[in-house]
Amino acid sequence: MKKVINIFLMMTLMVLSSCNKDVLDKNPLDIISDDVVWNDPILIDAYLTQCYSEIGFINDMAYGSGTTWFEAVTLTTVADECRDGWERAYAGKSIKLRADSKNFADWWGYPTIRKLNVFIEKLPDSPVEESFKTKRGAEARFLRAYAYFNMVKRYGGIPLITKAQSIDAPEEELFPKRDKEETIYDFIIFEVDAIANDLKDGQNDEGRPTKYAALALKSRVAMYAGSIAKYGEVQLDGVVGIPANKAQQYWQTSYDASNSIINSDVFSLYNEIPDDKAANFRNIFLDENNAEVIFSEIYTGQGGKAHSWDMLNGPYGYNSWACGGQSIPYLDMVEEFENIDGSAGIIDRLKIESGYLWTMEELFGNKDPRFHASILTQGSTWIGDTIQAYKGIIKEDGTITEDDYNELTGWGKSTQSWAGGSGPFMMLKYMDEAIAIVPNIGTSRTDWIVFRYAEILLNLAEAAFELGYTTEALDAINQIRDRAGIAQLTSIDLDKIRHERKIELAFEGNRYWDVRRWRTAEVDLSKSFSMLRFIIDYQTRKFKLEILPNWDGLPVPLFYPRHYYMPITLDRTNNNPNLIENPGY
Amino acid sequence: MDGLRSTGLPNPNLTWEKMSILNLGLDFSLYKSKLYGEFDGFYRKRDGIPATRATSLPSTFGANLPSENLNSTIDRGFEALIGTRGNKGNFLWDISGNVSWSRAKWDHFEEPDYSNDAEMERVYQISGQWTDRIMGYKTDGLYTSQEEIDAMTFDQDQQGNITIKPGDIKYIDHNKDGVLDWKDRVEIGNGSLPHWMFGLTTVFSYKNFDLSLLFQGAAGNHVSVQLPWCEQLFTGRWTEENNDPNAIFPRSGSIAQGGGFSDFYLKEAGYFRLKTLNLGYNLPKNLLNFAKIGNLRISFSATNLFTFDRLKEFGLDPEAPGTEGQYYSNNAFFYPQQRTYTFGLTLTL
Repeated sequence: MKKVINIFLMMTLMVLSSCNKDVLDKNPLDIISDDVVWNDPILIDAYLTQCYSEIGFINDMAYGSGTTWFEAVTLTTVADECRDGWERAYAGKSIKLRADSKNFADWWGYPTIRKLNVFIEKLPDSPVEESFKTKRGAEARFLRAYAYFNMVKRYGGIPLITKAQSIDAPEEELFPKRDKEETIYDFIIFEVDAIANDLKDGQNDEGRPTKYAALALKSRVAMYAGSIAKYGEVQLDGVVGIPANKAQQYWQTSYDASNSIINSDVFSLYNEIPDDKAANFRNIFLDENNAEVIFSEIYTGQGGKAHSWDMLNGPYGYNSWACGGQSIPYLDMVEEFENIDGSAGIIDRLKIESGYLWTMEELFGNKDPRFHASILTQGSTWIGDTIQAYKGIIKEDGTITEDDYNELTGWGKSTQSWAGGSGPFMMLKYMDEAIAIVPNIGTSRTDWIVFRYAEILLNLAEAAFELGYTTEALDAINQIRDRAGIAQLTSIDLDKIRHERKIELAFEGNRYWDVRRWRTAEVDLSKSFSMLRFIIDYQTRKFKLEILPNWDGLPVPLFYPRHYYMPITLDRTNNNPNLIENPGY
Repeated sequence: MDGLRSTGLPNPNLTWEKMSILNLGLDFSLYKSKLYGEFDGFYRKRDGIPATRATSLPSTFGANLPSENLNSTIDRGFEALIGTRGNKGNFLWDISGNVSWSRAKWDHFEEPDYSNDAEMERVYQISGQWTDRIMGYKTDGLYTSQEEIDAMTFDQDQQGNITIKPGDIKYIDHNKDGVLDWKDRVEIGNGSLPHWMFGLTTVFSYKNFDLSLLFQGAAGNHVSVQLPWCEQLFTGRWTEENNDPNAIFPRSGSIAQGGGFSDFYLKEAGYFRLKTLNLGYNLPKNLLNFAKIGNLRISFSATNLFTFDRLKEFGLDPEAPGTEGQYYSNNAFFYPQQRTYTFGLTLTL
């Protein structure tokens, strides 16, 4: 009997001791182990979601600065489109690019590239379904190509790293040299070709890239490479710049990619409201996933994924926290919009100087409907109200006051910003009137379009023209002008193509990169832009105009040739001597 | 919208820092305490301070490395005190002075290898340098005229000097290469902790009089003057009317150039001050006995009677605490030191 008890005791002890072992060796509840992630499609998706969010399509500014708040609106303010209403650090444009500090649009996305490399390496061994692996793998390669595009358009050639480096990798691998600029462009084009058919063949895939998104990326990327080859200069043995004899090949690649999208007949220019061209154009950006959208970043609004476009860019006086009027289109930009008949939209300076009193109808009534769809100004309608953007009142005796006068306030409601920078023009593109009074930042729910069909037509026109197919270029531009509701062109040249691109894609984050790749930024961004002032005549309610020159202040910002490439910066050249700095820094 | 993120690579070998101290001390008292003193020197090595190797791996690696026991510092310093006390007839004295010095050097700091670029090594290398070294640009007052700016021999703003106006800081192109950039940075000072601290305590008495004085001071530290909106900034700044190359602040709206810190705002913060003074007189016993009172003492004491320092024009006190950092301090919000005078009458019945 005693023996039995002893055995029983021993057994109990053994059980207890094995129990104890389990108690100490628990799986953590707040982190998920590596093995688990790659076995579960939901966790694989969560991993990729993080990578999508790090790309930050809407926010083509500094890497890691978040996708939702202020940065969402700033790229137009470093171009010749708008002034930053709050005059923050990067207002002043190019002067902030230097080798010993981080600039406003620094995007060194290697942490994201590493994550994607890990993903691309781990996924093939995962036990999940084969078709799921193929598709997600292709998405990851799309994102990686997009990330490299984000970098090559800033820095030129950079180290091309396509596998997750191990910490004990050989030194040549850990301390890479910069690859040539054309190597990076070729890599992106190669990747896009390799994955396009693994992505969904359809008009949209709910925020994931489709086959056509891949082609659209190819169309844009090859066009960038073509213009750099043609207009740029090869330096540092091709680390920046592309040999001129490659230009033709890249134009052709872009042209072919654009044609594949056009010939698929999946997309068309949005024309749901043909009798009101301005309303139609506005709706491209509000009617989500319409037939013009090739790829967009999905936003759901407060509580989900949100941005702040409405809060920051809405007309001042209608949002909470005294926000709005953040991006102020320059008068120069306003005048770029032609009249419906195709004549130039320049306001008669002599008439202004003569003190003439204008009605808004006389001033802007004949302008390109895209002007009324892209810009709000004095007299525009906004959530049932009329925008007041004048500064000053002409009294009956002819004197001008900026104080309140009878029932009129000295300054219009939308020019009273405490920020002091608000102007008479406000951005309207992407603005969602349905939100009405925007309660806070991070409440916008409008999808951000990364690629749309009109851009493909513009890419086609540019590549076709560079290849000498002028009729095709003219036809593509005229399709866009027809949809916009302005006069057709009868002849085409490069300036007209670039001008159309500036107007059609205004405020969409393209202009800054366009003037860089065309190498025209030295002229286009080395300027001081002007602004218009409306002074309301008390009796007639017409407006006297005044032109305010040098609205960015003096000295005039200068874009030097070295700024076509952003500096790698000292931190990075320091810890890897093989990374040479870009010329001029 | 966040997804799943890696927490980075782990390091199971992370351990405590190790510290070894070498200490040498001496206490003495000679000639019946006529001469006494203490001396204490130390040398302390801290090893295995956690740091990540991230700085020595290229930015293209793309992941954060775990903390490892990599860095080390060496502190060294001494304290000394010497004093004398005694009497000659009715005259009694006790005078003692103390002085201490200490400073730390990075023995190893995890950082990129700068050995193939002497300039980088000079400006950026931290290993082997004092821990509180501050690198920055040298300056030479302010520009006072456009002619002076037009005549500049180097590019201060990397834009052909078009943004420079009178009232801006005049930087020095230290290496004379025609452009102001990081290569022009030199050692301009130290952090805010004094290397030297000293004090002097004196107590004298003669018959019924007694006097004690406490002096204190510090040296070898700098303060970065960053004032909030205040009178000194308003009256001391450069304006067209106050076209003074040595105005204590540049024109309003002036932008710091060169992407870095300069000695324009970095001021020596050493000082010497009479911290307290006490003077007393005890009424003679015979007088007290006559009046039938136990004791009557008349005294005067004062604090912060005078200070020698270089921060007066900024309205700053050298003893105010600062925020320790590479570039330190805004000590203008510190409750000010006060000068007090106290007259006393102590009566014991």
